[in-house]
Amino acid sequence: MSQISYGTINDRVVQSMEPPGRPWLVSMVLVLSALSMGVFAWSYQLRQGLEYSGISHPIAWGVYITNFVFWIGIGHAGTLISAVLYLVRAPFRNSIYRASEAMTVFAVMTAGLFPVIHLGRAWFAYWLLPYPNQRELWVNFKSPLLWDVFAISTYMSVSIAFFILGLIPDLAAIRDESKGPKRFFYKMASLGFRGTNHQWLHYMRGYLLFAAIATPLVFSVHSIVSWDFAMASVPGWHSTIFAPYFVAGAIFSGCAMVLTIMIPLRKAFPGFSEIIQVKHLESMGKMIVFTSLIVTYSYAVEFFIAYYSGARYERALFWFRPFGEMRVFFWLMIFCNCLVPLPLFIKKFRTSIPALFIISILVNVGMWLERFNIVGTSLAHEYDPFAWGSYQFEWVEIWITIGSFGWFFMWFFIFVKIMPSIAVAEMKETLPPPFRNKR
Amino acid sequence: MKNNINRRNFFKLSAIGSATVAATGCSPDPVEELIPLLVPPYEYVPGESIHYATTCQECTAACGLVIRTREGRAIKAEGNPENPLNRGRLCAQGQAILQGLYSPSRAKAPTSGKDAARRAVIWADGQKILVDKLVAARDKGGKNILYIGLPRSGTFQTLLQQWLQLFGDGTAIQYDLNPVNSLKTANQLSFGRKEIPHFAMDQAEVLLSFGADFMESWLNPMQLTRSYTQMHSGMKKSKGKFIYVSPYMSLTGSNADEWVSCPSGQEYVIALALSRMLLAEAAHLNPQEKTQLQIYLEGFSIEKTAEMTGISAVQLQALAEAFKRAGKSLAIAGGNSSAGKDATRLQIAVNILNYVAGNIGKTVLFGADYQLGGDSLEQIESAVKAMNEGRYEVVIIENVNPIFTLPAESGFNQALSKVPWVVSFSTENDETSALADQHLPVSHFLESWGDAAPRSGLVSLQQPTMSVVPAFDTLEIGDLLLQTARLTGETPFAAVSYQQYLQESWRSKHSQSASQLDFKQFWKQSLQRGGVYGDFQPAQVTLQGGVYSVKPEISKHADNSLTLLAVNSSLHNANSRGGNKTWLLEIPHPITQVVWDSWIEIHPETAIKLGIRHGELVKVSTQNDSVELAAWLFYGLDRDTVAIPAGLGRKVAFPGYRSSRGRAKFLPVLESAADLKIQYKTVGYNVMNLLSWARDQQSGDFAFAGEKVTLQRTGRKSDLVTLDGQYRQDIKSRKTEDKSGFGDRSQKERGFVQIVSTDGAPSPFEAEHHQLRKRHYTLNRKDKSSFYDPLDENVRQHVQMAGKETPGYHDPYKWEMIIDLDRCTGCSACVVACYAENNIPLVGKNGIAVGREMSWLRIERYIEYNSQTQKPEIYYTPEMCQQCDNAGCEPVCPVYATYQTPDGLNAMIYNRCVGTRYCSNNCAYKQRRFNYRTYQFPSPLHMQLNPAVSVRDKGVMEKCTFCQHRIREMKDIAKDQGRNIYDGEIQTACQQSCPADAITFGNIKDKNSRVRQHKSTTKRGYTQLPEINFQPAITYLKKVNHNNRKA
Repeated sequence: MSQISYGTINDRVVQSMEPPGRPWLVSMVLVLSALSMGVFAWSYQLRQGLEYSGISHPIAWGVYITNFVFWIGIGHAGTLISAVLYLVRAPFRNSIYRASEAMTVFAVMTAGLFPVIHLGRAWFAYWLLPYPNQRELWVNFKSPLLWDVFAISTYMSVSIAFFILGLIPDLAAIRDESKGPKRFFYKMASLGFRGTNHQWLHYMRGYLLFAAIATPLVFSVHSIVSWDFAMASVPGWHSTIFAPYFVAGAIFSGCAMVLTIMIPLRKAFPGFSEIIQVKHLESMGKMIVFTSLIVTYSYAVEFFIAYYSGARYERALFWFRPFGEMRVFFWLMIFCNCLVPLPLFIKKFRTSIPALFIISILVNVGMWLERFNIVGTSLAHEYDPFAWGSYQFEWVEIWITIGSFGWFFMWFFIFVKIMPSIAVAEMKETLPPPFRNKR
Repeated sequence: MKNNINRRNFFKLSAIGSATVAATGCSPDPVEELIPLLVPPYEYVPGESIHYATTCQECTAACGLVIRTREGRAIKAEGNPENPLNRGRLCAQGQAILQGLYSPSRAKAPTSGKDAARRAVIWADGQKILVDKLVAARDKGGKNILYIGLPRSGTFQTLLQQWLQLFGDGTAIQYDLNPVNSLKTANQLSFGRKEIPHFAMDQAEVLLSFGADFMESWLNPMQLTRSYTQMHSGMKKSKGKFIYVSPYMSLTGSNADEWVSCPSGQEYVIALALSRMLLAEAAHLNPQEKTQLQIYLEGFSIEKTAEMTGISAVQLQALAEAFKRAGKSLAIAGGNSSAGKDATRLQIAVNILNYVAGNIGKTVLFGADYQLGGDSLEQIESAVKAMNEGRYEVVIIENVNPIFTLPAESGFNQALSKVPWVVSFSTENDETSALADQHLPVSHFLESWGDAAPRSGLVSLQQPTMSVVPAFDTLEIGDLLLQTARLTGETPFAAVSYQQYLQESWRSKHSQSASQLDFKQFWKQSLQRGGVYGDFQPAQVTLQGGVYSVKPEISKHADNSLTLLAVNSSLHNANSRGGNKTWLLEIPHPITQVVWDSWIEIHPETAIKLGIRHGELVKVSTQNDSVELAAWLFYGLDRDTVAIPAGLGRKVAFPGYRSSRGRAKFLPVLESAADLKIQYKTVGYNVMNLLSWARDQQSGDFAFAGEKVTLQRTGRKSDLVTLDGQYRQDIKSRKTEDKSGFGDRSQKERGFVQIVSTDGAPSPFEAEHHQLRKRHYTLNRKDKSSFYDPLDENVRQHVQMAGKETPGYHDPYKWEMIIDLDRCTGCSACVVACYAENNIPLVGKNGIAVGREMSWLRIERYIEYNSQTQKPEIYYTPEMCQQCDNAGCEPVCPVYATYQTPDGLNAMIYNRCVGTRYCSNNCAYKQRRFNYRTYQFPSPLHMQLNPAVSVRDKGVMEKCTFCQHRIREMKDIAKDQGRNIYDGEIQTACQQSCPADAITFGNIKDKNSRVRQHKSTTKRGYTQLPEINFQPAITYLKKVNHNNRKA
């Protein structure tokens, strides 16, 4: 840290925002082709109906809802890191929170697509909004899906506002470093922030306030998403543990995704490696192993309650998950979510960048599988044995899933080039103030 | 362009636009008028349905029909309530006649020429060519015309004879493969009457069937099922008992109280052994008869029989004991599984058994003379010989398909090719008409005049229920004969049309009847009622000496080779008329639940011996052919027997939906508009290819049983598709040796089917420490007054709530239903009715394979293991939307697309649905169906669509509506008349079709309604999954078993 000063931070952030080079362009081409796969598949689905998605009777929710919950989960870490860790004054957040917040915003943007994609008649998605209309049609506030509409839109607007708020001083810093039209852009974007004491005073109050507003949302959004399942009468869904279980799972997957993004980012911009230090990543590792334990505990409790309640259908389902025809998903999930993070108890693994990266990828896979397990296997093995089913993945949903990653990374790639992906002002706070005589 | 749109043009264009959209969607078909009649008949009101009574010709049972027509098109076939044969009920195949009427495979117009040279001709030319050929044949010396046609019992036979006379006489064969001639022949030998008697099952207390699958294909399944239900559902004093003795269980056997498996061809040994046991106590026989019978039955001792059949002596004695009811028992035999080379012998044995038990004249009534089945196949045999010898100049084949339905060994195909001029009169383009030199397609029987005399004292009329289907140029069969006769210039017929001819012939029926009406009114009344319904005079018969001429032989199943049975089901039979009807293919076979395919049923022990696993492909070979079929392991067969369904293997017209099935899932499957056109694909396998041209020696019935077959394991997976959610687990299960020989197909004690028993024996289901267990069985007391359980708490509360006097949400109607599982036979007629009534799309095999089936009503088949008898038992339950009061689907819909109506229905608003499918997830009964795509109703099948029900588009959820449109129709009528709906005025489509009367529908708010009465008094009522508290409106009545046993 000793060689880092206010100036170097500015320089390195500005460096990262230089016009893109070949690697960026190549990756962007990859990302855009993934996105176009998704766009093509979705347009085909709009024309053809859900015929070529694996959704079937009785599994009426499949990969789309899995993706939705997956992305919403990812969208958790950013606000958690920026707001909750800000409130609890955890200093390791400063280096990673900007990129995590960006990740949150884009992940929620991705997640928001899926409820629409999964609709049978996506062109009527606006009917889920309670807008006044001539026919006096109204929405059903009893439906958890409607709660979703509000939960997600609230979360998205607050996290975007919070994201923008945090950006203001940094954009001002960039403005000061740039020229020409770029300067004009950042001038507008920084909303006239000049760094006066007066402005700082109000800014810090506002930031604190937003952090306080955003914090409960971190917990409420995923709780409400979990109620999509918990409110239904489906065995394997209808459970009171769902809200905390989903929140823990979301933090788990979100932290893993932060690592998945930060490690390559650090690699791509060598200047960041001193700012995003291994000890910061190590802290994320600790978060992962902690939430992994919570998630593992939740799995165990689900099984125990299924046994202890004596409810026939629950028991059958929790037998079906590990031993039924969809058992592959279950055991992969257990491997990825419960076993893979365990090495993080050892400092050597926690501080090894490759180990962290591999673990974070596997956790992401595991968390996707967890959501698929919840959505898919529960529906596959419900009350009526005659209507039991199995899931077969189909090309449209696979392509749309790939497309969603394309969509997410497209925004992220644009973000790293036009916005400071390190929180400049807050990093500076952690440095010793520069004294003229010492320099 | 600028002046093109004026007011006139605007209206023209908008009219065309809306007509196109309404009539054809976006397809490029020509514009059709919404209302086909420019000057409608006086009775015609758009939007109101008109019903026409007519007669079904799908099989020879000739049930009465009522065809509902809307806007001049037949849209639904229902039974005629006045007809004493079917009493308003209609079987699955009968419902599907509409798919024959609107079949895409129908011949559009007359054609002439063979194969490539075939060209369309106009009717005048076509008739001219035919008459020239016929006259030429007559000039060559006569007696050289062969007419093979549908069996018709009415006036048509007279016309046909006269017509053939005109052309120098010829042979007319009524062609039908159902093996009933053995019954006639045996009755000729036994009682001197060559007829099919009336079997009064309702008068019996014990019914013993030797393979007669009367719920599926034997005689008249509608009549017999009703009769059986009267006996078996305990409507009378006691609940009758039904024992089924056969090598193949079938749907009928699965409904029996006891299924006795016997080796194929050994049924008659059992019948004779039983006769022998009963003979000693048969007091009603005269001494001479007794001695003669004693001598005749000498060899059939219990020990010998037990050794022959593998049925224990104890069991045989129990059978004899059960059958001893002094004239209140009934034995029947027949059906494909017992139609071997000894079919008549079996019938005679059963006649002796009935005679010895004193049933003749009590439960077996002669004098009815049912006109069922066709002529003996010996006639086909001699026709083939004659064709080979070149004795026939012209062969006419009408609406039968011998090329497809006869085994190759019969030589019919080769013989037909030697005939100089082959004419097909068939409505459809089938395998036989493809070989004809000339095809003059006659109209479907729903477009034609005719009559039938299915039983003595009963004549029913057949009238056109609609004009000929648009774009089809066909002629009624009667008119065709009359017109061709007129072309000769020497017609003996005075009648201008067949309608007139028929009317003239009915004048004699008028004079015979005691009718007070003049003929015009009599005719009108008969048309309205569908016929003249009288009773028959029972005739007294005694055992004739002829019976002893058929010497009983005991020959044991020689080697341990396997015997093949070609079996009928309630959906398909060997005549194969349903083999190309997509409803009958989409609806699962009741026992196996297989769709769109043929399969081979193998006993699990045999399969284990041969190393065959459930769902694997098996190579099946006989001396005639070999084929790979999917193995379906099932204990419902004899160990040395395998069964393949008959009637499949036809080319079926179906849209070519693209599927990713069997392809790499990652790569796109793109579908173009061209893919949606009809493609003809063979569905299943024609079992006739495996069979030899073997017949029963005495009667000429085709031998569906008895072909020797070898099975060979291939080890490859089949692509069998079933609706059974447990099938995939079955085929994945590693062990075939578990308790039932295949995977667990039980309901896992989830109480969908609940059972009571007529005595105090413990539950057949394994006790398990669980409170839910209580719902699955109950101990019953022998005391009659407490025969059943106390009224189920759920049902009682439900009725109390519903019956509250305070005006509530549901006034004045709340629709509810009762389904009596003790009556339901699982025949699936209701499922077809539901498909027909509600425009339910068909998704095809690939669709069902990925869970896209759209059926609103399904018959669930569970196989439960009875720990007491160590045997599996089959149960059926019809499952449809339960119209819950506290439904799971309603609160979760974000847009209120589904909601509770004031009538207590879960309404589904298709227009409001956005397709979140949450309702489907939250439905515990899994009754909601989602439109994964826009399904096609390929022309002309789209004309069958019911205009009262929306055709759903992609992305919309749907489900059973309790036939909401029928309720609406009746509500409107009742409102016009200023009253409430009477009980029974509304029948749902499923209820309407049910031959066993298992479904009751009505208004629970009406204190006198049947549904209310029943629900508040029955002690068998229960609701399914009550712990979820959805409060379903459907109450099921428990299945009642004898002694905790069932087949």
